[in-house]
Amino acid sequence: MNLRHATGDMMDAGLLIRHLHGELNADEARAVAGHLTSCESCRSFAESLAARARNVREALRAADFDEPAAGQWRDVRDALRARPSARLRSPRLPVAALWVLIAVATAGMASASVRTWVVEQWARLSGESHPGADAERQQSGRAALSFRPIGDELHVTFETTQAGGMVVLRFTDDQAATVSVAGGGAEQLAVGERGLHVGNEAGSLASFRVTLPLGVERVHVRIGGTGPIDLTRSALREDTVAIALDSGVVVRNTPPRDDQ
Amino acid sequence: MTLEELFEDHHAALFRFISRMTNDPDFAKDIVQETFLTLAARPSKFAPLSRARLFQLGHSLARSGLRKRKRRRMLLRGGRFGVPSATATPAPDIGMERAEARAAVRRALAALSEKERTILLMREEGFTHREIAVAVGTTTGSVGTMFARALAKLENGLGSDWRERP
Repeated sequence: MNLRHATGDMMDAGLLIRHLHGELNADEARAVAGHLTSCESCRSFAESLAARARNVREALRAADFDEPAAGQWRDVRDALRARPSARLRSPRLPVAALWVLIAVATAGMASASVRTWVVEQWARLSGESHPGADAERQQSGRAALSFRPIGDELHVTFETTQAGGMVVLRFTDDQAATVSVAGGGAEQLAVGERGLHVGNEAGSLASFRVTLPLGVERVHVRIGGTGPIDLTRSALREDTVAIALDSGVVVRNTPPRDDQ
Repeated sequence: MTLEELFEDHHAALFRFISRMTNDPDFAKDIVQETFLTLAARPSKFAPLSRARLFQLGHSLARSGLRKRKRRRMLLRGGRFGVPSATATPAPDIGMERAEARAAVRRALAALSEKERTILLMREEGFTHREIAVAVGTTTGSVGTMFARALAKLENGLGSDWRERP
């Protein structure tokens, strides 16, 4: 990635957009963030791009057509209901693969040393300008998860560009954890017994770091009411893993760096 | 997930996307219906279904519908067809200023190329650069640059007219 100022004055707008949208890998994002910290003109440019995006979003919402009344969808609803065979199926697993899965699951359950962690994230919204926003926003964010052992701890960093009134990161486990919030428009509102409430009005990149005991070997992730997805540590050590859920939410793993 | 559930989860967002793309809510409603009925007719063709594939199908049907409409209009009037023009004719329930503000936004949106509009609006619906790249037939790495260009163009086109006066 070339961080040189493309125009002589500031960084390339496309690169900054990729950064703002959370599309860079961890190394690239770190490099861009580092540059923005030290370069005022680029930082100012990045802020103006983010402001421009907010302005355009606001304008689009102000100009949205009203959604057709619920009754106007009656025909299509009836047509869909009248097709009992229209259930969407994923390709079936061969029977042999099913037995392998059962064997693996049994072996995993027998191993008492495996410790798991559950991370749930969804948006709780208020005051959205278009109808049905609550249900849809849950499904329109992106999330990146990185999983990195540091010293005696395991750092799980969960990043999201989910826009909305409030993002709630909920965790359930009997093990102690510490949570910190950084980045973007995130503002830590409250840490409750079972979770972390973070304001993320702008939908900019918000980063939540959960520090877990090193013994944790599996992380269950549940986003927007779907899942859970079971991410093992070995899976998270592989090259970039992208998991697209039915809802369209994509969980991406940023591989841990060995040098930390 | 059944088609009914899929419809309940996504039809409003798909309607918003297509109506913004085409500046025509009636047409958008028809396309949303056609999208789900197409899925119902041949569910196995689209399984396993993702939100991105649903929107790609809707986008494709909208483009096809627009082409048919363009041919029809050209035959009838010999006129040019693009996105329907956005006028400030107020709907019965909103004031003239609000109608003008809306029309200013829709004019600016209609002035973008189809690719720019698709990139901008898919991003507004939360799609990743990779999903957007597949939809518009470009590389993932170029989506950021094209998005930045579309953003600047749209904002310049908006000026300050789109804000309602206090």
